Amino acid sequence: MTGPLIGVATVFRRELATVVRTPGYGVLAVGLLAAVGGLLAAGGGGATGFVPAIVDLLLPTEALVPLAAVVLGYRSLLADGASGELAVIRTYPVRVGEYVAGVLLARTVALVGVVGAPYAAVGVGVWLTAAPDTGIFATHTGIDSPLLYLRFLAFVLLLGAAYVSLAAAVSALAANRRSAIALGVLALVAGVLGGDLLLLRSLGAGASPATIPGSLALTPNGAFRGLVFEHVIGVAFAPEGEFIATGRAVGSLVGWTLLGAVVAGTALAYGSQVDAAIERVRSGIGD
Amino acid sequence: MAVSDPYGDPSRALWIALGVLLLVAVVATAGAFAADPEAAAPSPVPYDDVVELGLSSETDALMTGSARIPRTQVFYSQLQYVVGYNGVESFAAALEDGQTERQFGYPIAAYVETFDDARPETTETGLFESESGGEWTPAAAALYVVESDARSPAGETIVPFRERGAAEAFAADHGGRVVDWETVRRLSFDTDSAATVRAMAPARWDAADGRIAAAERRADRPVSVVVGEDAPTIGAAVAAAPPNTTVVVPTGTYDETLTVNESVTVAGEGARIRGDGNGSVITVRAPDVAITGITVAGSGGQTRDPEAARAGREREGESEVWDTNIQLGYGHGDAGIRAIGAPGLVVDDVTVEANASGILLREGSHAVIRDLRVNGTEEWQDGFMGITGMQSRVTVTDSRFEGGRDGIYLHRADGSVVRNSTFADNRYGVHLMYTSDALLADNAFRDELYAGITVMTRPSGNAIVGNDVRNSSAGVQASGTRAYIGYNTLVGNELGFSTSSRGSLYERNVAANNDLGARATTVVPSSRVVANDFVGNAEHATAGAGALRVWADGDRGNYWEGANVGPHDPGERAYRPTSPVDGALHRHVAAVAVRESPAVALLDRLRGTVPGARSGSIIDPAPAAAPYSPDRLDAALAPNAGPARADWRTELADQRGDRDEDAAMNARHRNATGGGIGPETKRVAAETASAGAGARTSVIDAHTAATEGAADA
Amino acid sequence: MPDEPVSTLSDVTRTYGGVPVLDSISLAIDPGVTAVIGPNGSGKSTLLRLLVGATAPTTGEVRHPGATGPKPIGYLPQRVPFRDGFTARETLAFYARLVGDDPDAALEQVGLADAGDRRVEALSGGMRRLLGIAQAVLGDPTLVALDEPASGLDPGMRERAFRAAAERADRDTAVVISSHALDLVDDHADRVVLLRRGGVAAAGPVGRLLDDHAVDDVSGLYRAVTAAEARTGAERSDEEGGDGDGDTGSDEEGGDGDGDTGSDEEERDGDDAEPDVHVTGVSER
Repeated sequence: MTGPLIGVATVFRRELATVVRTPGYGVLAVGLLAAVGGLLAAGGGGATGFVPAIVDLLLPTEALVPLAAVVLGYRSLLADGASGELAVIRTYPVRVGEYVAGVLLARTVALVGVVGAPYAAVGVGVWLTAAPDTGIFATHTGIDSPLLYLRFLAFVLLLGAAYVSLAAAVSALAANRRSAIALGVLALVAGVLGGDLLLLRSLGAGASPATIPGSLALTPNGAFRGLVFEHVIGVAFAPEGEFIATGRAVGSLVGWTLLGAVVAGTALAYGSQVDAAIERVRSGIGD
Repeated sequence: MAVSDPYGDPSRALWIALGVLLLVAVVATAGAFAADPEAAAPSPVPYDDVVELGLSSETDALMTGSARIPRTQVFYSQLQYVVGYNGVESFAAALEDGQTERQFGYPIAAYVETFDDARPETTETGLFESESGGEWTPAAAALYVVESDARSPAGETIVPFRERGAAEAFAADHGGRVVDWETVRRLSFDTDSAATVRAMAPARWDAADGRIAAAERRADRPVSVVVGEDAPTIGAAVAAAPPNTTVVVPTGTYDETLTVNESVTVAGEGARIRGDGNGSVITVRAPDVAITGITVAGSGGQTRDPEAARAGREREGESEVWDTNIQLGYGHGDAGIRAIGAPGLVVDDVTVEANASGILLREGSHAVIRDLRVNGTEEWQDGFMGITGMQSRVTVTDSRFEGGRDGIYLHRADGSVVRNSTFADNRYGVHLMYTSDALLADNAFRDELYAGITVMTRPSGNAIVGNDVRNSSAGVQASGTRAYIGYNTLVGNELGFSTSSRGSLYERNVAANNDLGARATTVVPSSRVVANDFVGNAEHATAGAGALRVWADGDRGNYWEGANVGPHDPGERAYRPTSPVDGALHRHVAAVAVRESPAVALLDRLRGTVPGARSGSIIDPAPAAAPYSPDRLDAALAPNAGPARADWRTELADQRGDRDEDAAMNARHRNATGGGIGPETKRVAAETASAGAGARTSVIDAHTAATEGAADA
Repeated sequence: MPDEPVSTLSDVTRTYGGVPVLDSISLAIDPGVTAVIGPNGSGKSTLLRLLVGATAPTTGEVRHPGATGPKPIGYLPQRVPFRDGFTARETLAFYARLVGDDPDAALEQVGLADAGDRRVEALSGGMRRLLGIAQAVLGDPTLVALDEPASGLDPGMRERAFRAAAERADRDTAVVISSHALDLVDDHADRVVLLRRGGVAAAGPVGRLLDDHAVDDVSGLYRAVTAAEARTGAERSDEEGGDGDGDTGSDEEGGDGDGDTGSDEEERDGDDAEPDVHVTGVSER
């Protein structure tokens, strides 16, 4: 392994070990499994197949997955900064970018465990239990298929990754744990509701509905919802139709992820300089 | 691994495992997007296993001969069940209808039955037939002969072929042209649906009026013989009377059994005819006989004749008809009045104290029955039907049936009308088997052991309108296709009605104070349930196995007591009678609080999406704010009120022609038929033509041949 | 290059909230052991943070002309920051991996070989500090900055910690130690930087300073200089709010993390009462 990789890998392993050793994340995964499984049981969609199961899960997922992702991410970069260990780590040959990459990668892998595993378990449950009500008649699966659920899972993880990254950015910007929680909640609300409210408002202000597929893709939740409609649920309706610009939506989710990473990296890399610059200004005013 | 030493160098095996895992995940995800879930077209299944929609295959015309309807099987994207359509045109029309796609998704595969090697032909009556079943061919790859002379019981039928040569050969013999699937899809199809049946209900009522008036005229004959004066017994008087005269039976009790072999009127003046407890009391074997003003008692107690059934089977041998057993068994018991091959029978103002059947009609004994009273046995197992009608169209009005097995049992009695009659303490009030195009209207049923009205097997086009069923096990249970079940009032039963009939219309029924208002039974929903009122039922509705039922017609739903409780505008919120929360709204106010929980609201939101893929429940997306039939509801709920009456004839007459719904419930080619009643008449003709193969009675053939001629003219 | 200093601070000022904690300091850190001493709030921690780059100077410049290698600087913060949930060995292994060093040797060096499998949060404050020293010297840095390495240690351990640090210093390596343990400074330091109210009150080789101030040991030097400063600076400190300066500086020292002022207070009180042993503040982290 070359230099940068070993830095990323080492930070990654430390972060992953931290997540693994924090029982709270296990509880989070179990809670998520209970919530998702419970919703499915109450909704009844899982009894017949994947598509109705996804329909039942779509709305709760839009809130639960960002929540879980923010919980995973809101302290990820704050912890080392707050304890002072970041200052120690930075005396080592690890660039900020490598450090952020390592932490985010580990948190994203943790997301796969904390969010992906419950959803996958529910998917397996649907696979095992979903059956027609009666066996008297010939049945087929329609377009229902585990592949569609796999697609859904992929979108869920993309959405989660975006929120992990954004939460990490928040954690890098936050001064302490309390403000990290506050900022995390703010990011959550803004992400889950804000984007759609803006879209509503722009439509209300006279924007053409033709812009929806494009503008919906701009927010993480909008992009996720659009992708699920376009590539999962929509498949059961008609063979064609555009709920969202797919490339744009995927680009948006990846973009939010990268944006979060870049903001986090920048905040860590230039935080002390910015701090000093602010002090310069204050001293200047003081003089 | 990582837990024990996060920084140790993992073993080679672990690296490989991680790599493989990652590779699998990447490949699976990529595969999930690369694979087209629509690509894998399922293979055809045996037709017996599909859920049938479209025309009924259990109509007389089809079951008695070699006639076929070209069949289709379709795999819809959202529906787990394979749907079969009788008639390519049924499927094509279903595709045109938006409802189908909303409910089931789009077809991912469709196969039609092609007849290249099956020696396709038409019967004498023009029905399509083939020596053997066809082969399954993808719909898009098949060729279709349209506008040929091949017909289904509902009209012209499209005949599919795999090869162009075979299609052109068929077109050469039978006319028509060869087109491809796209062309078939573009053709317009007239509806012949439950809505048609609804539109025809008043006409059937009027037709019954006509038959009754004709019967009155027929019975009104000059007096030729008076029993006691001109002849010692009724039997002797009837034998002596010339055709088309009246035998008068003065008041008194006459101990005799008799047979009427002439077209005469037997007019009692409060006379009582008492049999000897063996066989039937009066047997009619001539057309146009009228029996009025008498009481009949003392028939034998034999309800069925196993001897006749055995003999019949031997006689018919190879060509045994599918329901021989029932026909012979049920048709050969004892009765107060028995008519065999006696069309035009008139029974008016007659009371039967029945030990077995009250009146037994068979072999085309089409009868008009008015003001009949049948007092059956106390235990239904001891007696039989008030009226048993086998292959005989009956018109019953203003009659009363108490006790015994079934009030009226009709078997292959297409076009029968039962109206304005009262039924009590029977097993079933009215029981139809293989009987299509009937009208059961404005009857009252009380304390029926099994059900007020039951329709078994899969006939089509029955109208069950304006009946009032109370305190029975079930109100209306009608299977079949394109039935119209409307304006019925069902109170205090264990079950109000079931939606067992496919492609049917259930509207303006009032289900009040039943243990269960309605039950959805068919696995694949194809009926419309709208504008019914559900009040005071312990449970408003439940659903059996199958896809989600959407009970509404666009934005018009049903009235559900309790659906609009809570902080929202009436009709704003979908109502799911099968959900434990919604289902409790009309019984416990506390359910409202549960219903407002975000979790419930969340789950309610998208429930109507992909209905075909959901199971076992009912949703009404637009519950009504107020009852549709408040007057009848009041009458239903008022203590000791008489039967609720619906003015359905006026209302349906007003609607006639200005509704264009149910487009795809059933269909036939627009050019095929002109009028509404056409197919009915033809069906009777077809039935009798094929039944006549045994040449049992020339009378029926002559009679129906005349009917057919009149219809064609 | 023995002639060149390992690091230099040129006219470095650092303010917090506009109030200077270090004011126009210029220093050259040469190879050998440099002890940074001074009262609480005099800016010792800030000086070390500036030196290792954990804090950027408000004005001025910090350069490391002589600090080379893959890990040029080793740093032990005043509060040992290691993440809970890991054993001592794992903690060192993480850092060791980053520079390709051997964590077990490093544990051995500070005498923690037997405690390698104990979790960081289960270590005593002193052991944590030793672990921190082991971390700081991983990867053979040219400049080692240890902020209060001896605090919280029993006398034997203090000696060991100081000796371990002092042994690092050679012709190319500079070790900078901030400490209140003036006796150890006496024994091990080549040079002393004495801070007082954000400025350098005295700096230079120990021997020269002792001579200059005519004192016998560093304690004497400390007392002499702080007393003199107190006298001469009384006027100025009144004008600038006096004690306020010191408070601000102290807050900063403890304010690396959550601003957990409670423990800062304790730490400072402990310092005042018994400068050499103040465990509470550290071990509570």
